[in-house]
Amino acid sequence: MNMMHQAKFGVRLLELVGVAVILFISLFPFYWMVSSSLKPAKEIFASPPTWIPSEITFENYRNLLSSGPNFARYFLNSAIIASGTVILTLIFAIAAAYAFSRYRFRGNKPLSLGFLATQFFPLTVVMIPLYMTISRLGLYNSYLGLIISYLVFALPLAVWLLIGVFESIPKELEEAAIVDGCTRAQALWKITLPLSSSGIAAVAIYVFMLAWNEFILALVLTSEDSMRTIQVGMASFFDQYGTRYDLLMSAGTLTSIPVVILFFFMQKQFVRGALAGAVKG
Amino acid sequence: MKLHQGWRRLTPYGLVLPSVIVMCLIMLYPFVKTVEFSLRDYTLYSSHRPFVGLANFAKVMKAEWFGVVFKNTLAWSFWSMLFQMIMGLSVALFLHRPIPGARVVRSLVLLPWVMPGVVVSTIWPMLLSPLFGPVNDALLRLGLIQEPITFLGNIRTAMPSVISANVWSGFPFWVLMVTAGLQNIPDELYEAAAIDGANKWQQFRYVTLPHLSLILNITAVLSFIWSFNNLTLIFVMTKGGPLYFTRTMPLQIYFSGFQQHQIGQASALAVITFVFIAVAVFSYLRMTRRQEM
Repeated sequence: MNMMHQAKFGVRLLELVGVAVILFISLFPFYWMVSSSLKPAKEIFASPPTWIPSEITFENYRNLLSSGPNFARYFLNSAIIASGTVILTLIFAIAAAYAFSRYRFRGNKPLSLGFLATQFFPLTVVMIPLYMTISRLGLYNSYLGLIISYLVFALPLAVWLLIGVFESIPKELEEAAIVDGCTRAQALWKITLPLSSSGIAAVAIYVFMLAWNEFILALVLTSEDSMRTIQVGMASFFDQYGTRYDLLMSAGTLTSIPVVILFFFMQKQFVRGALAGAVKG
Repeated sequence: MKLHQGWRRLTPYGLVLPSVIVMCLIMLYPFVKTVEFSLRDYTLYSSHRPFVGLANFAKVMKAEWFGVVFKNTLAWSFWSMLFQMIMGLSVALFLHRPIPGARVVRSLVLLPWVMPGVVVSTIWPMLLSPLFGPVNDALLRLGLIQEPITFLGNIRTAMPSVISANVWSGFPFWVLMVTAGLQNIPDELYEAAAIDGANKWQQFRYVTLPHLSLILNITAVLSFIWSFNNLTLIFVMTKGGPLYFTRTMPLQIYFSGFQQHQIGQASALAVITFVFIAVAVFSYLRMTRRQEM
């Protein structure tokens, strides 16, 4: 009996160590970023480093927001572009997915498979002509230029996710509403969309993160400082100031806050979106 | 009535059309252009862009850096994929056991994956900094090294360092996929195996692994392609340096196209990349097809 207790205790202990190791690997880089951002600047550049801040201060954040780089503006740009991408993607994707899931028409299968195939299209393959197209359309250095580019890279996944969502909602509900005198559009608006709200939320979050986190297109399609996204802003920061980790770590913390919040609040939808995207895609 | 029905038949096309148009404009048209540019002698300031056949392909494939860059790209994608798999698989299997708090841990583990690539690429250089980074500090204190290592500046450690950052940011996706796969294995199979006298290892070998093999294959292809295409991490952390030791194909395309303005050659590289990725995606689609059957 005693031996069994001991063995069980040993297993529990091993499990605890395992959990600790996993959490350490996943979270230590965060800890280092956030704790560094709260250290006094001269402590960040102390060698050897301090593993726990000797005092907590917000001076790095104050410096970040008051000094040279236009950080608040970058943040605003990213928020506008990511929200715009979400709205536009939802409109396009809901329309297309609704057609694919509710109508039988010639070209349904090849078209929806065509969307699927573009999911892994490497951005670098189209980067140069895309830059030229966007410039020719007069959308270089504009929100719209980035929004429609992100739209295209978000659409395949969004359409595929929403086809699945719509197909899980019985057609009969809409048909009943139409019998009761609704138009098809009203039936969609009043019945199908509310019932798909959690699926639509999953798509929205996924698209928001994609647009918020994207770097290369934002770098290629903008040049004016006032049009930079937060990712381009941070990267140029890194180039310009090299090791100004006091500013970089506070900027990194602020940049991560929206995605971390979104992730924790909508985790179930997010995981669902990610899985469906990967498995279907 | 007939007219009305005719319009109704057009409705689905009307709904799909906007998406098709933007996809053509932003993806298909530029792709056709890439192929066209790859066949022309095209630098930024050339007003005359003669058709040169496969000369651009010949030129880039003969360039001294081509082999190195291609090898770098494969090494970067392969090692990233392998270590992401090892980490993701072990974490998922470990957390699948009935451990108190496993669900919370499983969601915390996903955090690195949602982090913006640029943020990841600024945290890691700090972690690895020879002066004020914790990694060197820990190695020094443990007596494993005598001198701090300039991880990102040394030709031997630069590639492993950027791969580490990529593994950290990518392994949670494996956790996600493997966990989903594990949850789809019916408990009865384990019970049946246990009745037949299979021990834990045999249960893993003959029940878990065969059921996971499809998902492992799919995830392997996906994570290989993602790393292959990922430009952000290397771009921010090393710019391909020191020298060309971390320069990968996407980075080379960016440099050739946007900095050296060799549009024709950059496009040839892009086409080569596309063919390579297409083969990978094709094998991937064949695997999912098999799953549906």
